[in-house]
Amino acid sequence: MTVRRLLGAVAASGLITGAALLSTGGIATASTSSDAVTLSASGTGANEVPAGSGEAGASVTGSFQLTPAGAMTYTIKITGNAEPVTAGHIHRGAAGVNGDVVVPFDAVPINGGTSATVQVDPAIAAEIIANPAGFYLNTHSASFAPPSGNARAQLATSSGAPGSIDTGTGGQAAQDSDAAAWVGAGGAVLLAVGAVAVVRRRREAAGV
Amino acid sequence: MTRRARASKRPGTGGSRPVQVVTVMAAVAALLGACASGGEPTAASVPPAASSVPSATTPEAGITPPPLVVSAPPARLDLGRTSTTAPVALAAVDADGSLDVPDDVSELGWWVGSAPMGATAGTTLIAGHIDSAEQGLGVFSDLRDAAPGDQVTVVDGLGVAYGFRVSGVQEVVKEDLPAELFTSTGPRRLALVTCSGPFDESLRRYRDNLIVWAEPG
Repeated sequence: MTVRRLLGAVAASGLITGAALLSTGGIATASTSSDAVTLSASGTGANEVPAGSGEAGASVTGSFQLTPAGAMTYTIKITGNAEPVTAGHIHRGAAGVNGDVVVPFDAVPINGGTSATVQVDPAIAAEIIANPAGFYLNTHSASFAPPSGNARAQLATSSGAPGSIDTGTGGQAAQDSDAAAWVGAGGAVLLAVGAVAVVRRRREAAGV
Repeated sequence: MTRRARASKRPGTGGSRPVQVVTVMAAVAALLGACASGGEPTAASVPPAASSVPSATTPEAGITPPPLVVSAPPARLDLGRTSTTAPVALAAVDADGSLDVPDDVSELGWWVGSAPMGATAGTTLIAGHIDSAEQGLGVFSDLRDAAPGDQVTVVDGLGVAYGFRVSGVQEVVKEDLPAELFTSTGPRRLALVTCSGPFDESLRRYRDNLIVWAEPG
């Protein structure tokens, strides 16, 4: 199974924390205070240790908002996996090294493409915030049960900015613009022709 | 006149073709009619009330739950002007340095290195396809209609909705993307990004990016 949609099912999931907020005043402004640090992780089955133990073609991306007190929001997207995810974890371990689970995740929001929250031991949270590269995310399924996993990704406080954002291969939008220009030009011609016709009729009616 | 170009998705043409003016005029007339009859902005939808508020789980006994995290990635975007709604997925950076926007043109991607919802500073970057050779026009083809003052609503992964107002529209060559797009400090902003400008048939690539900036409000 390939999990592609991340959050389409949020409303259906019932994981709504803004209910009171929404019911009392509608939409919040984007000024909510938070001391959470955002961490991300992105990797593939090729990153699993030992080499070759991961799922070929599987990729995992995670986003984590973590406070020093240990409150964490996690959102995990896995693609290219053949089976439902049975578990997800943050493990202690630098790249190339396996280690113990320090934060367990619920498989339901991972398979459902939703965010969820989990309490992390504050001491572990402090370690993760101080040295995210010393921890990694991975997911598991029936055929990739621990210690192997579908895909693995080291945590990072910031990912490098994208060098490009390519969001169009069709050219239809450019053609739409061209078409609009043609229509504009055509409309101007039609208006001119119409104006000439009106003037001609008036001149004829006036016997000029 | 507000330009309205979004219609139902249509197959890619695989290349530019001469456009017959009569056909195009008829299509535009149909679109204008559609706008006149149903183009009024509607209130941004919000998720239904939750039956319960989730709390942080406590896998280890004895730990007092801290305050709930009030920060999460975007999960859904609503463009008020066009009543466009689209899911938002995580988007990392590919090995080639490009943003890994979802292939499905009806979905959007949030760059995982940008500010999440609930942040008090920095830019939240959401990108989406304007079109695809295989799938036709994408959901962010609607960004071409964005104008200052438009309402934009982002619902995060925990169901909290955040309101923004469009503050500006910018078109830049792809190689000159502004640093403000990738900052996690400074003013709180939302940046909606798609492609624009001339289309290079040989590279199957647009020259520019269209950036719609929005601020809390």
